[in-house]
Amino acid sequence: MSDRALRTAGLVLAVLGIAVAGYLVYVHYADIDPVCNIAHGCHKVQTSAYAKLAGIPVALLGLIGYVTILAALLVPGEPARMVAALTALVGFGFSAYLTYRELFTIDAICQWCVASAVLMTGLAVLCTWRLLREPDTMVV
Amino acid sequence: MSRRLTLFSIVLGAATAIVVAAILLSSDGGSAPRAPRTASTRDVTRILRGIPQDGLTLGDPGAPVLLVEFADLQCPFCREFAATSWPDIVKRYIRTGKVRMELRLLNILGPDSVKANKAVMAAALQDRMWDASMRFYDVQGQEGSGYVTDRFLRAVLAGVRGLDASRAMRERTSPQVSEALASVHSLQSRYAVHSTPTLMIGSDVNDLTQLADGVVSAEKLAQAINAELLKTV
Repeated sequence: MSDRALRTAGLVLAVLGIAVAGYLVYVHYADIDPVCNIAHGCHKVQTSAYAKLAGIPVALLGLIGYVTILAALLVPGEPARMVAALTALVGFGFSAYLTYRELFTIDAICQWCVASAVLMTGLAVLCTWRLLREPDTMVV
Repeated sequence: MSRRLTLFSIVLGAATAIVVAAILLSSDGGSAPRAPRTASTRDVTRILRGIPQDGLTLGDPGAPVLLVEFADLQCPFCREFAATSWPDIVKRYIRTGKVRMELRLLNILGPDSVKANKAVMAAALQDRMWDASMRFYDVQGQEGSGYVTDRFLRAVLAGVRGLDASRAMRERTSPQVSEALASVHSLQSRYAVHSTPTLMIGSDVNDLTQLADGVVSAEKLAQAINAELLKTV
């Protein structure tokens, strides 16, 4: 897969991630329940002790993460690739931890959190792939 | 390629460090639900030792004065009342057979309260409701945070002396528990109780007067009980 294709796929996932995290940030600050048609556990998850990290809503942290990845994907160069991969891997690791908490501590699943975890997993794979492969400009 | 692997190793190491730090910062640091504290349990055991319990009721069923507390197990003010004024009232009035006290559990603070109430009400079927509620207060968490899981409740009930915790966990969904909680709701509506803790006093549940809501001091409560006792002489 070319760098351009990886980058385009990453941009699509990052935009989707911004939409999901943005929605969760909106419902948090608007103090309303998210639409939760599939798993019916969104309210419980969003009001749990795990919905905040050091007092900051994890949805807001997720939004910042997606925006950072999007920006890093738009910027050329090695440092930007490293930032994108670092942010996506952090997002993937913390999403995995939160999913574990949903399943085994909170006893509820939030469909929006699952969607975000899937998007972050995809971004971690794409961004790591981009970092590991040689840039197109160096391939003759 | 080795340079790329080196870069990846640096990124992966940094990402791992950040995730570990985030997990340690998160809520309880990834630990299991807090175990009930032994010291508090000993205190409650000492406070309640030798006092009869029958379902919701603590004390001599023939005691002339009835004190009813409407509480939500997640409510921090209910916990404060239980830790401050309640032991004194037990010692002065309930142990001496002057007052009997009922604990009526309300679901004001959401789904965690519903789950907690069912478990503690199931303990009432074994006449251990007061022990179980005080045990719950020992490990009370942040309201509505989802901390009241089956595992958490099992740990709470397992610490109550004389209670078959497995039986209580099973009986949470029994018709007796549902009926008992429904009767609390009807009493709540009848006396228009909207907050917890709310204390009411009288001779029986059909003749109650609201004392106060919020955390009432032991002295204020004692004055009200003494006044009620004078009516019975």
